[in-house]
Amino acid sequence: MDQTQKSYEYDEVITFTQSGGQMDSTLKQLQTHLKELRNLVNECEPLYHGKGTTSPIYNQYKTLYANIGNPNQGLWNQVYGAVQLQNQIYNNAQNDKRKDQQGY
Amino acid sequence: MNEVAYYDKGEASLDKQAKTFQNFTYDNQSNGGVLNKLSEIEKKINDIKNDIQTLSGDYNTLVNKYEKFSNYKSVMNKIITTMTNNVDAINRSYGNVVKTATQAINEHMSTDSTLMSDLDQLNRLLANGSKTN
Repeated sequence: MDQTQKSYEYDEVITFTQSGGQMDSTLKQLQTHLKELRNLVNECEPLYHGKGTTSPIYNQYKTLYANIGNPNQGLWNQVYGAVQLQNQIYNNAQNDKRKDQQGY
Repeated sequence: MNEVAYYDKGEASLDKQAKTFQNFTYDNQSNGGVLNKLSEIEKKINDIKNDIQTLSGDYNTLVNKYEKFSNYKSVMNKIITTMTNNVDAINRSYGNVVKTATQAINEHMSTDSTLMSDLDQLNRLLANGSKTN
């Protein structure tokens, strides 16, 4: 099938969403920064903290960790959603390309 | 489905919890102390804000170029809105950590006047934090 018969520019979408593509690089960068933030908060705690779990400082650290959370909460939960979305769009574009090439 | 997206599963699945300590500590060493660390945290939060902006731009690029993907728009918007809310909550907690440090320093100033310069730096961090909120 030649270029003019493409239903849309799926090759651009594939390049944009593939491993190492622009969207992937953005999400990778975000994940790297989240990991670095977790390390920094981890390093900050022994330098500055209150006594026990009732101190206001403890509660602020608790909220920070909740938001850089785990796969079920906070930013990591959204990162997981974004990763799934990227995979879905990439696969849809690949399927559309395949259909066009097969003449569906 | 091909899983092409980068995902740091090891980091994502770490159980991240605040630690408990037996006493109050404020480490004000000039190199590597709490002020340096808070400043680094502030920069990192700003990096994350920028990443979310870039991701939002990436989504808009896709939706604007290819109408086919406009049905993903509500999912994309929800991801970006929730990420923005999460990073706002991080920023507020960071600001509160700085505020509690400022209060602690104010209380200890009467016995240790060398803490005056720390107070200046904490106030600068607080001012920067309120600008980015």
